[in-house]
Amino acid sequence: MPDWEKIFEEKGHIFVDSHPDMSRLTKIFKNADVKRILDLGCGTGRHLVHFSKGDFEVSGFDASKTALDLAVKWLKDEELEADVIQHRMEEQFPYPDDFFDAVISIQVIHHNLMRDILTTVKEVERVLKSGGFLFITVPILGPKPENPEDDWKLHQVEDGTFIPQSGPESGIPHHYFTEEELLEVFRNFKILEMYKDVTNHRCALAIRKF
Amino acid sequence: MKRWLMDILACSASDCRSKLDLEVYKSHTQESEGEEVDEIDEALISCPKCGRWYPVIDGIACMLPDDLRMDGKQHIEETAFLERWKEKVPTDILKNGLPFGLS
Repeated sequence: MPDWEKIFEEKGHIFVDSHPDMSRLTKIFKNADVKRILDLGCGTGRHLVHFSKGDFEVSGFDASKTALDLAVKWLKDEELEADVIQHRMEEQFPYPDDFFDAVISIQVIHHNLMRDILTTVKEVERVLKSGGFLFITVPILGPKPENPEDDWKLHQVEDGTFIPQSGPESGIPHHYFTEEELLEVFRNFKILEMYKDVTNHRCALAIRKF
Repeated sequence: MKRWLMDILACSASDCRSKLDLEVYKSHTQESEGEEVDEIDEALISCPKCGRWYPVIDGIACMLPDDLRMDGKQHIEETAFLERWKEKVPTDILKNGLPFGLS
């Protein structure tokens, strides 16, 4: 089982700055009159803070209580509001159908076996309104690092899914989506944009089909 | 945690999705957009359909599946919650709570 609790206990705020495309995304959301946003796998809250500052109604969930405690403190320090829940993404989300105008998930949904990823996607479809926005980023499988210390010793457990045998995310599944696979998994969405970001992660901006 | 969150939250147990009940044990008021609002710090969430309970600890509703609540740090924190509020938690939850009580 992925031990995110241990990772957040050791590292605290793994990310502080928002994803570089969030300002552009904010403009897109504002123009589309987005109000409620879900940050799936919100971690220590960098995007809860970002979107709360933008006057959106923000909800987030994460499996790690340690991460959520840090998120709540960050929001409190900034005098911002967001609702956070401790929950796992491969379980039924505790929200009603068609509740959110947008769902974002930054470097999160790939941390599972494909069976569980499909459950997550199904739940995203359920809680997202028709015509609602989805923005996700996932990693791209690169060449084996030259420095042995950087080698996570990936062990393949199914097609496209690997479990690192060393490194900071040892034991945590990583599914490396191809572009074609993203199109298939998110077939109930209309893909508006698909691109690599400055950190070489694959990004997809989509809307849920009617 | 805001009280209104209970209007939307549903039980996350597989195939349940019932509306949930809330019993607040500790809260404070906080100013929000010029108004005083109730901020829940500690509370018991319970499902009238499947009988599960979930704690609100430090303002965060902890709604993990049963298997992730049965051991480790999570179990210690949630057991400490039951101990902390055992005078207020219903006896049937303390004795036979789902997924666990105080035994």
